[in-house]
Amino acid sequence: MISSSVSRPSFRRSGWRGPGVGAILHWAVLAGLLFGPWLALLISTGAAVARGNVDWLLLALPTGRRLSLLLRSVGMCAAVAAIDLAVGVLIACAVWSSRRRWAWARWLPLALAALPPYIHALAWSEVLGRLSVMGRGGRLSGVWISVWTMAMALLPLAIGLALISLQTVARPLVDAARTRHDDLTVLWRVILPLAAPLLGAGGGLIFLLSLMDYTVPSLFGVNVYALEIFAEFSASYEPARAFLLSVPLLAIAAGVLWVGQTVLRNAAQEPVWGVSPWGTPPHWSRGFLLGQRAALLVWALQAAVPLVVLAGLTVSSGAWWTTLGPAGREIALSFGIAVAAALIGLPLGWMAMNTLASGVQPSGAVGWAFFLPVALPAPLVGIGLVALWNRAGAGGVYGTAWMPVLAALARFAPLAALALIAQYRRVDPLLWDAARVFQVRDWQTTRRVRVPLLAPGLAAGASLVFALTLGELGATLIVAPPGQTTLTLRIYNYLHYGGSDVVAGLCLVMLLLTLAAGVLGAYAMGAWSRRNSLGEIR
Amino acid sequence: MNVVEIRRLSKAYGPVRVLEEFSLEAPKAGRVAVLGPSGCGKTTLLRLIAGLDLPDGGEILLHGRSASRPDWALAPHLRNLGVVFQSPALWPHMSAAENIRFGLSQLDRAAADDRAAGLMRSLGLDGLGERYPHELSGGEARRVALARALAPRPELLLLDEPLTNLNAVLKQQVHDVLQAHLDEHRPVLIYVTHDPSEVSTGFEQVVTLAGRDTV
Repeated sequence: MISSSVSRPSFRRSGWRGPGVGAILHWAVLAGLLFGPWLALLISTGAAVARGNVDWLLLALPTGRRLSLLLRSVGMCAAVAAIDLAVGVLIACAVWSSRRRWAWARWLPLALAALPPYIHALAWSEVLGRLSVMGRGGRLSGVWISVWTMAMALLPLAIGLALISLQTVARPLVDAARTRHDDLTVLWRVILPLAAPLLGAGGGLIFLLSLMDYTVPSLFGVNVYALEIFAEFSASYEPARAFLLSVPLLAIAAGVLWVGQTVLRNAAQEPVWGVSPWGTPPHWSRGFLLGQRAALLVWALQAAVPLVVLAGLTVSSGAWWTTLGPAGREIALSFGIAVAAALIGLPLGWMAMNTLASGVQPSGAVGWAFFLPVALPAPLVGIGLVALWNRAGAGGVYGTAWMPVLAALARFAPLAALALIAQYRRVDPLLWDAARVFQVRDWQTTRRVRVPLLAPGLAAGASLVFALTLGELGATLIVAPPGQTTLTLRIYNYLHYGGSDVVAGLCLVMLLLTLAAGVLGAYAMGAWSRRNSLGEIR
Repeated sequence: MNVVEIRRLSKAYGPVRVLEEFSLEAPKAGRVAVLGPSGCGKTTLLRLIAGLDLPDGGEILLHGRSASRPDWALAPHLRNLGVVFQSPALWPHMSAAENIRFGLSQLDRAAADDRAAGLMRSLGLDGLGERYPHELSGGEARRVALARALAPRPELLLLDEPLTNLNAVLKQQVHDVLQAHLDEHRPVLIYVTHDPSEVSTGFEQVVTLAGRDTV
């Protein structure tokens, strides 16, 4: 029966004897990585207040200019989420019902998901500048351009999330509805309501990611609340003031995440076991098809604008060869940091999945706290890491390339766990039970059952952490080792201090690396998903 | 004229051929039983008739008009059919009564309520209308699925192992309701099962599917 009452079995549910030493050690490492920076910030804030800076506490209450700034930021980000969700669902519907041999291409949008927003900003400012769409005297600015660019930057993520949401709607439920109503009615009355929890959570994530980003608004001359935090730290160099100023954002992030998690927990559908959702192509109305085509055009623009503009700028200026050579060290450093973060992030995510997905521990508050760092302002992670490691007896980590790795893990390790949990929930629970029944040794079960079945999640987690780390800027800006520069830092510096052809060349390198990671991840996910598929209904 | 006519229908999943040049004719009020072991293509046959899958070869005609070919299929909701799937496939965000009323959009609310209530009463589901699928037992869910298929009084009824998960008493009850519905509304019935005892009486045609070949 398809219902929400099917319990999730755990790897160790029967006869579970409590956490072992390994599990405790793992959680200690994970907690240190994720919450160490926040603990350091809290201690810094407490110390500052104890020193007599009680009036700093007022920074946590936005009033006057800061309140209107916060409201404007929230409004902009709600618009970004609404645009992305609408376009994402339209595109997902088109891609979802595409022919089976193109099924792997459904995951291609994710390939561009990790491209840093400021690269989109550069490309769109170039296009809009040439079209003279915005601004006076050629200077681009404006809230709506900022919203549009941010929506474009996050669109691949929205498409991916919408696709995942639709994939969770079981085929028999769609089939049963199709025998009585046209496909558009089936979409409105059955598919979207069933996908709503995941779609809503996806919208919340997009809202949070745009709320925490300041790079795009700042490039278009728009002030937002996240930029205010960065400006405050740059001006005062006081971690406590930056932390207190960010409290409203932290509260919003915590609230959105809590609501999203609650909604997801109550989601009432079972996942699909790898079968195609449409046996026969759906019949959409003309209006809906028109909407789909418009959305596909937006998607094409979203992908083409950065690619074409950056390639055009690079080729026309001949900057490709002049930038690639001198940037070799930065590329190698960024690559190394991203690989290290992916390699360390996966086992951490695996262990977290064991606990959070299996139901061994209560996952409500623990899960919420675990995923919270993803939605928090990146500069604060950097500030917290500096406060944590820049002290005597801290093991000499500060000032090394491990700091950006730690920053990436603090921000993105939960995403590796999320990818694994999503894959874990896609697998028929009976397969885990069967593995438990027939297992000889635990490591054999891991090698022969868990790893193969979770392989798509491993591929998704690794490529996601790799690509996001490659483009990470907010925290890296603060923790980068002296004398060394990552690719993102070099781009960021050039963006502010000129050299658009050089920026274009570097952005193109970044784009190609991200694209390679994304395509590789998408291909591996598709290949392993097909292999794990249980086949068709006969 | 036959309501359903199947001409040399073929379907394969990759190298596995589940249906090969299968033909069938069913006139109005015709009752056809399809027997066969697991994986022989019974469910595939129902999905093809319902327009939920495309055939690889052959054709399905409804009232003499082409409804499914390898390159085209009439939309399922335009075929005036009711289906009970192997799993109940109840929509989890709708109550039992809402599930049953889903196909009754041509009726006003009061008439739809009456019809749903009547079916629930006859199937022993009184008082369960407001329950959601996860609050129903396996047998209750199957009966709700049957009520949902019967409610619109379709011209073509496709039942895929409808008595699974029911005890002997419930099987008899469902059988009686189904019999009354067939006598009153005279739809074409295509009844799929692996159990020969379910189709020993009352069917004009009993078709046995042998199994699958590898291409």
